[in-house]
Amino acid sequence: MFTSSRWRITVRALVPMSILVSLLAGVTTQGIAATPTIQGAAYGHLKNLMSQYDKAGFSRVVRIGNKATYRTTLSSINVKVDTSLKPLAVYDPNTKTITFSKDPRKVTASESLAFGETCWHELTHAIEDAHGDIGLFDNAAYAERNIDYMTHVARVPLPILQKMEKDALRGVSAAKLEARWRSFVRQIAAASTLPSNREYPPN
Amino acid sequence: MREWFGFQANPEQIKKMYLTNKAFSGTKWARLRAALKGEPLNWTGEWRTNWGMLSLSRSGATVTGAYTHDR
Repeated sequence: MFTSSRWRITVRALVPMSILVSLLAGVTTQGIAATPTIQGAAYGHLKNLMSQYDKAGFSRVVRIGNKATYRTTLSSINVKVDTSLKPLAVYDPNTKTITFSKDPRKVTASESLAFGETCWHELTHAIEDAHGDIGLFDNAAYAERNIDYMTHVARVPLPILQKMEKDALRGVSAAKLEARWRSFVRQIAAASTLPSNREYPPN
Repeated sequence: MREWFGFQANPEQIKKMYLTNKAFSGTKWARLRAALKGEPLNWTGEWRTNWGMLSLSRSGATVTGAYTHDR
């Protein structure tokens, strides 16, 4: 008959408990590291993108999205990989699925921000879908109006603001800082003139 | 946009932060504060809005505008 007391004695005889715990912990950690889920890997890239301005002073009042909202959305939809897909990724509102053309687990560190932007793009459509405003069946300009606007702001004006802060700390003249600021404001305004935003202003 | 996505990048709010937040009150930020204090936001140009095109121009302390919506 197999009793718990006999089992404990057997374990103690074979392996000291401290070593056993270490072994189990090691197996668990290695297991997670070796086989991340597609979602888990995609979230890593998304987090890199959404955290890229966290160290900037302006991050106190600027953000390219609510990380918790995007993380929750990513965990609530289906994610798959189809290497024959021509676009980088697509979101299907019928099946609530994002299909990536590349496996997020195979994305390199140098590709992470770009892949994170792809995740961000498709998750934005998933969030629109969750609010009953997917728009994919109406026209492309309507469907892309929000993410086009946000992508422009993240790619163009925010890096200008980042440079302005670095220049300020380097002691660059007020005139040059003012020029940076004007450029930033111009580029924020330019987001409203993107092709999709000309037809449909972002929300 | 803010409610759905949590997206936030408002020039007026950013400018206000640089001018009032304690984190930017030190001497190393003095030139930036000077640059922003002397520079009112310039909204001159054509703006696409929910109500059609809005045209704004500024001359000194006066802003003049026109919009296309007529209903």
